[in-house]
Amino acid sequence: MNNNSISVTVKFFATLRQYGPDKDVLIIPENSKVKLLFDKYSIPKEERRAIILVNGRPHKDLNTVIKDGDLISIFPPIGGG
Amino acid sequence: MPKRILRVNMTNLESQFEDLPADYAALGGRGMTSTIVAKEVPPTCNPLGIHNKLVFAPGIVTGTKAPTSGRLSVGGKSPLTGGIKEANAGTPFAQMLARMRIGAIIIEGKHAGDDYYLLKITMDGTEFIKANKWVGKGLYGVYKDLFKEYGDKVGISGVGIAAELLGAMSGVCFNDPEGLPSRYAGRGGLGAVMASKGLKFIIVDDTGAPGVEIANEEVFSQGIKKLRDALTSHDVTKPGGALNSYGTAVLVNIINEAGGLPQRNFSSGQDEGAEKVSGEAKAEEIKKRGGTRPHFCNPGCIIQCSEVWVKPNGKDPVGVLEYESVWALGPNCAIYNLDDIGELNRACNDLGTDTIEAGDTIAVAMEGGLIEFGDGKGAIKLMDEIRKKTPIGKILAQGTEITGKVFGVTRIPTVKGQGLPAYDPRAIKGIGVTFATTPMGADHTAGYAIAPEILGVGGKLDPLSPEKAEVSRNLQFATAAIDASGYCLFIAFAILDIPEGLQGVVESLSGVLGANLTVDDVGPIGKSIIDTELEFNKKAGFTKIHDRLPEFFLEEKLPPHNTVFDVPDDDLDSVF
Ligand code: SF4
Repeated sequence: MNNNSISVTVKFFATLRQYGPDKDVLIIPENSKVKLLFDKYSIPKEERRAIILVNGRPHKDLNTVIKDGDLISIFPPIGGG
Repeated sequence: MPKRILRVNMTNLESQFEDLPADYAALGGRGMTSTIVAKEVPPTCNPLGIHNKLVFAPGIVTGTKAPTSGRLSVGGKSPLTGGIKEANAGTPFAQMLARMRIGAIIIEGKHAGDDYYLLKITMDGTEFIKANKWVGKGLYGVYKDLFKEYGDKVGISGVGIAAELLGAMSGVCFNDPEGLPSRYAGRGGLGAVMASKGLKFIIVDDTGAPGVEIANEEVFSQGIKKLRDALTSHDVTKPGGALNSYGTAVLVNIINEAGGLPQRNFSSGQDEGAEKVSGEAKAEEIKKRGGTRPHFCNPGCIIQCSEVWVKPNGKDPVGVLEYESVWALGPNCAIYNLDDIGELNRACNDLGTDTIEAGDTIAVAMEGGLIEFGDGKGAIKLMDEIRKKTPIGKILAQGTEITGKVFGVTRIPTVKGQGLPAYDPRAIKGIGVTFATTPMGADHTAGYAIAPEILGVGGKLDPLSPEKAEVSRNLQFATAAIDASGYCLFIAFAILDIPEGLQGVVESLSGVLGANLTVDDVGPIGKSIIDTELEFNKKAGFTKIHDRLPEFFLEEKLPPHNTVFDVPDDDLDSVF
């Protein structure tokens, strides 16, 4: 890892597991946005209305900037009770 | 034939049909049960005594072609909370009552002596039949017998061994479309109320029923089309969507990731083991084993969140393993094994207990040293104590609070005596406001703040922010209205986001009732139901002091966010 890259853990859930891994650790350029992860795993456009948590905090979006060591959890729209 | 009330007097084994009073004409579900309970049950009565009543009421559109609407409410004074209770279930039984134009069944009085009865209801009338031969037996076997004896087209409601013990964790059980005793109006110990009266089963046979009267077919049809469109297009509720593909347990992973899935009796909000019991893992197993998924709890549901869980050999169906049940009997007890959870859920269904209360109870028993955390086989043995009616079993059957006190536990997760569901209020504070303030005792369905706080449905709110009084209040009003309608609460995911869907719901209700309701009426309808319930509770002795979470939620920080429940008391008091 050089000075300009950061490490991020990414987890995909439910129907999104057909595109992305259950869990993976990636080295990505500094200042990358969550969108990069969607591009990397070729998540189709219609699946991008996802629920995104960063370090357990919900309501993040594709433009959220990733920081070193972040855990990004990505879910399709879900419900239950 | 107009809509009727069936009044059943268990003291002298008599029943009669009455005309539905005019001021009840627009009521259904929770609106009907809470109105009748508030009017007819003395708030200070003993919940297991002669003055309490048990009321069954299908929703307003239940029994019609309206999608996802086969729900009914069961109400009474709760032996668990001491307050008014409405518990809700989806079952063909609900649809049959509605098609028979029975707006409510009111069970009153109390049969002297030890005999138990079965009440059979047909279009020709009612019949009381001695049910002693099924006492002490598990409901899986009993429901099989009953379908054999009364035909496979009937609907069955019943109570199990936990109710025979007058246990406050006992629920009222209904059959699913496969005939399994797996759909429960579980919460609040209403099973014990039914058993206390000497009533063990209700069998309905709707042969020859006239069906639900629809005052304005045109408005009704237009309404259900709008709702159907909303349900089939919203990402959460549509076919192939997450609820349909994985069931409610799809929430295990997201609530765990959000740090709000209580583990080991509410001592952590996250654990790696949760993945093993997630909706994803469960759906895969069901496929492998040859269970059924998706499935519905009543015919006519579009969402179809249900399923049939089976043993590894594909045999011995349990029914659905709901999110709440998986959590309560799983991570909350540090059990991360789906087969153990499945067998615990089977035990709950067989004994007639609420799965949430059972799981909370086992977890405090573990904390109290009765068995180790994570001991799934030990937990199944504890449930057997209830089956054998041993002294330990009798304690457990009374639920979380009593069990916790008996075993010297101070971390007892209850509000108004009722065990908390699967969300830790320190990590998700709006749901904590609902737990604290709903007249039902800790109940997630009463105002599901998880939707905006985690799922981004109906808004986006920070779960760690304590400013949640308003959202909880609004959700509680909307929910009470949905509980009266007969629609499953899960339609809310679609109609919170799609205004035409909500419009459709209102039109379908107007169509059935011949009324002219608007979307603006929904809140006030819900409010009036909750006002009725709050008034009952006040007369039963409840004050603001009861609208509080247990102290440990305010004192012990919950990992991983290391937060406490910090919603000010004044905010809680401002909800109602
Ligand atoms: S969504 Fe699920 S719980 Fe609701 S009515 Fe349909 S199958 Fe039953």
